[in-house]
Amino acid sequence: MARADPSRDDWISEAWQRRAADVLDRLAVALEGPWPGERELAGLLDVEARAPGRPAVKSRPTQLAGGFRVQRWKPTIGEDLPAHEWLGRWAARLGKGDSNRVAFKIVGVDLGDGGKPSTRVRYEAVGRSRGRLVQHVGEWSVGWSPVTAEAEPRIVSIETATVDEVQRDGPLFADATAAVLPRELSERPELARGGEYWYGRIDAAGEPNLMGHQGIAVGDVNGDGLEDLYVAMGSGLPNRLLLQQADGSVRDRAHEAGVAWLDDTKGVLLVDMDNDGDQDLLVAIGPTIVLCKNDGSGIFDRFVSMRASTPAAYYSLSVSDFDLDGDLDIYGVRYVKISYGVSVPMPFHDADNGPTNILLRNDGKDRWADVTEQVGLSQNNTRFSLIGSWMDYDSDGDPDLYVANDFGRNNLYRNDGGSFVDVAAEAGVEDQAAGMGVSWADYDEDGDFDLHVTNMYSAAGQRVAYQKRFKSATAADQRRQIQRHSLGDTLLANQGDGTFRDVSESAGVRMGRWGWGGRFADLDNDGDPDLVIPNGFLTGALEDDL
Amino acid sequence: MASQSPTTESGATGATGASDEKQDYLTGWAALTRLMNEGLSWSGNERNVCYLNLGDGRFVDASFVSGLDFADDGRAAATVDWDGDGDLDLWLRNRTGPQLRFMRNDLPSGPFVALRLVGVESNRDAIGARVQLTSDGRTLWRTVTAGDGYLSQSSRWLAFGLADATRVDEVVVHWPGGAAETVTGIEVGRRHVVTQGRGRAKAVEPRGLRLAAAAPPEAPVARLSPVLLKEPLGMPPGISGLLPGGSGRRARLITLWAHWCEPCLEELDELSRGYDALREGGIEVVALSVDPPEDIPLADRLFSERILPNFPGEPFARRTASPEVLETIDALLSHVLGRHDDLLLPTSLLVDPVGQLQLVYLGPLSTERLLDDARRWALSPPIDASRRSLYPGRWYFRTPRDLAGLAADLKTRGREEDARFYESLLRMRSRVRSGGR
Repeated sequence: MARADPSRDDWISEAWQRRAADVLDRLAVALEGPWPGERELAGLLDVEARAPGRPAVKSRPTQLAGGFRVQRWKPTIGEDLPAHEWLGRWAARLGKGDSNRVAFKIVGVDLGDGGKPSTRVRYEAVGRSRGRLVQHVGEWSVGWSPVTAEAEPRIVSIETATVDEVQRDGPLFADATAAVLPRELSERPELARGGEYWYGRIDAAGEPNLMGHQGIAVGDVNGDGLEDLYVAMGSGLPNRLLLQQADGSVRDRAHEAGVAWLDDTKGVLLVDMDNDGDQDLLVAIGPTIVLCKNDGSGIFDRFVSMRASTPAAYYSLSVSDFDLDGDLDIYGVRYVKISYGVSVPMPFHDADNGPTNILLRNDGKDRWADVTEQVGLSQNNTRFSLIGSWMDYDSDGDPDLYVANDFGRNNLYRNDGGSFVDVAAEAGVEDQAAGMGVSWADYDEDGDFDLHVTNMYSAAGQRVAYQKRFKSATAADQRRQIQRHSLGDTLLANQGDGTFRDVSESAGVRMGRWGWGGRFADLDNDGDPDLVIPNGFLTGALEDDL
Repeated sequence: MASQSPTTESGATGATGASDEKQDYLTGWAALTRLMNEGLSWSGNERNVCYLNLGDGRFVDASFVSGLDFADDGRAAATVDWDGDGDLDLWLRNRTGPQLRFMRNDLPSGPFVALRLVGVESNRDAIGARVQLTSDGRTLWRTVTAGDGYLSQSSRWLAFGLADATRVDEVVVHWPGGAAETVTGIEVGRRHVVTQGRGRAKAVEPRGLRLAAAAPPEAPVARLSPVLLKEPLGMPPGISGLLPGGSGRRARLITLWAHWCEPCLEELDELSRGYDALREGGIEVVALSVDPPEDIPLADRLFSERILPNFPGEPFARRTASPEVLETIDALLSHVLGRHDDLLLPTSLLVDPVGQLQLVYLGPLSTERLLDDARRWALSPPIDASRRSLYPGRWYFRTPRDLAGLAADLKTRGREEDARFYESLLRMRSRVRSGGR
């Protein structure tokens, strides 16, 4: 995790890897230009540096739906080449464009007891070759010159592990924001600027913060057959109701519709809560869920407030008819008792000092009952929760609930006819890590719904947590739990018998960076769900410390 | 979090000193929180990730080729076939600007089926329904959800990409709490509404729409950030003492400047040229120099040379800020802005005729803007508190200002009198509350 000064804290490996990372950063710059020569690489490579020659096995390219061409390169073997020559060939595969981008990240360090250090280095290299977009993602094992206090680390050897190459004629998605948002909306600082800008420019009495936990919901608000969008905004900035027009562009009608709330708004949903045929709006404002009732024309004219008995703010909302009585009930999760950083998770890897999540049962006629305790959802209910997502994972006809918790294990509440039992452990889905997002889909087409959990992937966390010195006094299983924390996303394959198998590694989906709302979606219309993972925690003015 | 987090609530892990370990951990969080408020990047500039399902249990990273790999601080993604062309477009919700992106899916047209379910016995939105579609020997499952991923809700239209299949063999809907229902009438390449119990789907007119690719414009550079107070704030003696006496029903602008600050001089130049209009509009200006005593002669000279000749009549009131007054101002700015490090110049405070702070301005202010704002916020009868915003919108809740925190901060800065002012406001507030209702 964050460390102000690794060298001071005597994390020798971290201090050394920083210097090695500098060398790799310079190597990346050299490789971004076409055909790096010996000169550009001098100073980074040992004069004797070698790398094994050609890739021995190159899988046959797979042509995927949507114009993607995928090829997997197996580890290289064969005669050695001088490393600079090998790197030149490597870079040429990206093409000679001027938009090439190469990035290295050290994900493992072994200082080698007195001998030569080695690192596992993940790389991403992208560019344009013959008019096509090319992307290489792979891993190197890099050998280094011996560790000394003075001399800069130099690369002695490079060996490759698997490399994935993906090509396409152009990007699958085009940014069409400006075609949909009218200019008077997209240029406004409220939308054009982010949380980092606004925090400090909004009256603190509205309790703004810089975290950016504001959601979105899609639904047809005015019943014209076109999907609209409701956008939650941070404190002091009005929420937006973007009504789609016939030409696909939007008009903001939040104010006219009565839902331009200025309060810090997190989870939002557009759903028919009273079964009258229109989309009502749920907004989470602090510890209150406000049900805004649609009059049928897209105007929200009645408001029902449901305030939790403790002050912790709601984050994600989700609805489901858990008791199968024909109307929708609300599950709201809460993350921190007071605020991030102030409410410190204890213990870090399995925190159970968070606020409670709440299930509100719809009793009709705008009456709501907090039935959390009554239906058994109080088990493991003091976590740092970010989303609860409903799915009938056991195909028994009633919706079950999976809750992603930061700083610890997640919950799977099996619905047994309206009451719940937390079966996360026996189902194999505790996934003790930094749970942020949940998505369900039958990714393997075996007839049941599988589970993707967005977690945190942190190269720094992985490097540090796997050093021998880290928590050496701690029991091995706790050590593993803490190591797990920064390992990344999880894919849990439903086995159809009430249990799941963790296939994250074999499926190759660990790396989702500091992810939030990862979700399955069939992006290329080939029938099977792909994954998109929005990520990144805080981009600020100060340099990243990690 | 710094280092090694304690592994139990008590921090007891055996070898290491338990309470030390816990203390280190808490100290680490506190340090981190401070750094975040100061603008630390922490896993920032990270690019969104996209994986393609290879259909054999594996996925491949296609982040760059997907066109989705923005280095935004991404939070939520919602899918919807916005343009009705049969593939899934995306709305992305970011912490960083642009806070919203619409991503158009540029897949060449291919076979698909889209369904929207309407519950009759089941909940009307059919949340929780599962649909199995069989085509070409494959069975695809989709479900209707409201609230998944993180902080997001996708379209309730269910999208089935059919690869290169040309027909649909069977569609079965498992309604929440209801029976499974086989649905007929599903055509490839069309969108349908499926109503519970009808047995037959109803096709919806197709929609041919072509949206241009156009990235959002760069955020305009704003020199001025006006901050309207959600709830006006009375000014303590340290500030009200700076205001010219006998100003009656006038609004007052206190603008902080220093001799080295060119934007300050530009602002003073602008406001001095417009001073007749400002006075007519009921506004007085106090130019408050924050220069240290040794620089005052220089500031005086600059003011006399560059600003003074602009006044047709009586010039601005001028004051020099003592270190004590600066402490009070700093405490007020921290209280109002939440996040405040160094004083940014020029900064101005708009105080209404009864001595309440209405707006804080960061950056150089124009005469026109000041006239407009004063008219609306300082010189008109107070508007409904729920509508106090520079943007069209409403506050759902009233959260009272943290006057206790402000008083405490002033005390630690040695501003006892100003602290007492807010303590007395607090007492009045609680009296009003207990007596009022």
